Amino acid sequence: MITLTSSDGVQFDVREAVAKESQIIRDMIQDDCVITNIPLANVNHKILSIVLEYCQMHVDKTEMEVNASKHQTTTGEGSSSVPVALKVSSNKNLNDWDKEFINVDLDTLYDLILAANYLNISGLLNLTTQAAADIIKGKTTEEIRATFNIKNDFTPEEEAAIRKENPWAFE
Amino acid sequence: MRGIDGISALPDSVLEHILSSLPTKKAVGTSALSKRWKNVWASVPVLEFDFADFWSEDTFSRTKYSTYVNEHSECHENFVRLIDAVLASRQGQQIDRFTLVWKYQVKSYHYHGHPVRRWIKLVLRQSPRVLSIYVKPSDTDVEVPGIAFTCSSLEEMKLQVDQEEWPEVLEPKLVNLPSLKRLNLGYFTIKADFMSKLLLGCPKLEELELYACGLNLSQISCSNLKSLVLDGCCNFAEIRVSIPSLQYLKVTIMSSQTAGFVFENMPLLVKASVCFLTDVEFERAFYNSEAKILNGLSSVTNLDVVLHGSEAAGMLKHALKNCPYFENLKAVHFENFDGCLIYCLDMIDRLVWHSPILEKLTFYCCKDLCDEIELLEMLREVVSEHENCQLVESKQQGHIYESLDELKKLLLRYMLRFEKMMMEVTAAEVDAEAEEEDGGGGVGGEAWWEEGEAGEGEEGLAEEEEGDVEQ
Repeated sequence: MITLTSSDGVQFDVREAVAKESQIIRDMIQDDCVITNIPLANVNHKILSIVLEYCQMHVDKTEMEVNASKHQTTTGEGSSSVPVALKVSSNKNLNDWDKEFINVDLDTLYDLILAANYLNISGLLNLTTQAAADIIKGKTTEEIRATFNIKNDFTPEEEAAIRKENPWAFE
Repeated sequence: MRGIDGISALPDSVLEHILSSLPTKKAVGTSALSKRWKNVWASVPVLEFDFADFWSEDTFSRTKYSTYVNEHSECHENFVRLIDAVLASRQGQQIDRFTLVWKYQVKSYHYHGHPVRRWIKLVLRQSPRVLSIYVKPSDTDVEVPGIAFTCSSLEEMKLQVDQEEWPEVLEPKLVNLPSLKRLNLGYFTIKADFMSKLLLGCPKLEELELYACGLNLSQISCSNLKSLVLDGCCNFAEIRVSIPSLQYLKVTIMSSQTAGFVFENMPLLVKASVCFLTDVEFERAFYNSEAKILNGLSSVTNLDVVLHGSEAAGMLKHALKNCPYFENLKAVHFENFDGCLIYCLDMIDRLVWHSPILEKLTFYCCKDLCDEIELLEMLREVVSEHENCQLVESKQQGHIYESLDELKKLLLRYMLRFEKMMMEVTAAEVDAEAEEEDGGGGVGGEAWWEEGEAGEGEEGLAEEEEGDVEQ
């Protein structure tokens, strides 16, 4: 068990495997194997609990898969990578879960992106940035500004010049 | 909404990450949002272009053909120009991933070489991890440059050059892709020499997919592949596949296929998808390419079977005649697009009896066949005799081909390949005869070309397709 402490002082006890979903924690544990308490200065308890929910789910799924494949193949080679085609069916549920998981408001999404970036959890970073990209997709410049509250600080001339640079991107 | 612009406050690296999930057109579009966004796209190491994003089909329906071709070719020129410009602006920067999808090409590039060739060369100098190209050139070859097979940074490559006229033969002098893990080649002619270079030159290769390729070789053997897909490939000589490390296999067997595959030495195989497809309705009494197909697959826990066309039932029957004991088989999934499954129920029964620990029989078919009550009843009967086994009717999930359309495209591609290969092989035979050699060259096979006449075959396919549309 490892204790993670959020920026606002809330402690979370999690299994080592769950904490290790984060590259930064994995590195810490590797460098110092007796470490049991890790303070996380950049993540508050609300976001950390969501992040840990994600890690927990993904660790559980992977472990289930490994167990299942142990039954199937008698190899002890320990090569953990599984061909994509074999993952498809088992990933189906996890993808659905991810989709539901990422259905959050924009502020939470930004916080999750920042947390995933800081903790270096590549799966979560991909999931959250993809969600942001999906919001941008299919929207005009004006609509994107309105959705994210982006203030247009260009003069009309400056904006026209930018559009002229790569006109194909605005058709 | 609080009115605070949270997204612009994210660090550059994160914004780049977000933009890397967007097509390049959209990413460049964000430069007009605000000063914060102006230059973010320029450092995104991912480029993704799809010609369809630059050309709407509405233009086609509204304009006359002549204007259409003009406008269209203008579109193509603009497309080439903008990719050239973006690549020029990225000189010296790393490009992590380059994706190009270019369909409906009308312009030919006889004189200056195909632009795709130029782009591949440029991108590969910028240490990409992923290169993914689908192009449908009008008449000229892309001529895949040799550098595509000697790039040390590539981990994943997809090359599909959908040339109907005369498929490109891949024969690079050297193959050395030390980091490559996944390779997908489409519509090429692949000869034995290239295949052996490839398997030797990609020590980390785990997944190999060959789509609608002409295979002029007699064996595929290596010790590192985990996944192999042979989809809609055409071969005239039997191919022995021996890959002890293989975990997943997908293979399509066409009714007109004159020589099949023999799978051997695959103790780790977990899942196999075998697709029996009817392409042309001609006499196939001489062929039994499917007869040995199941023999090498006896270690699987999951078996998918796809059937399409009237011949498919016969093929499955034939294959199941030599049904091995599937000691590990837990789940069988049938995918059937036209109800022909009903003609081989006796053989399915046999498969079930040969699978002592079978738990699940899943059945997926086209929507309009879902109320094929009789078939379901009979399947239920087959299953009911086995205590552990249950029948599941699948409506949508986990199918191998997404739709009948996908399947038809594959069949059409296969037919084109089939004719070309036939011509190639016939030409080779004629050459050999002229030189009074023994006609070997890995082509093998007896007088297969006397049986299936290409012209007839094509008509057969066309008719069948029409029939299917009406269903």
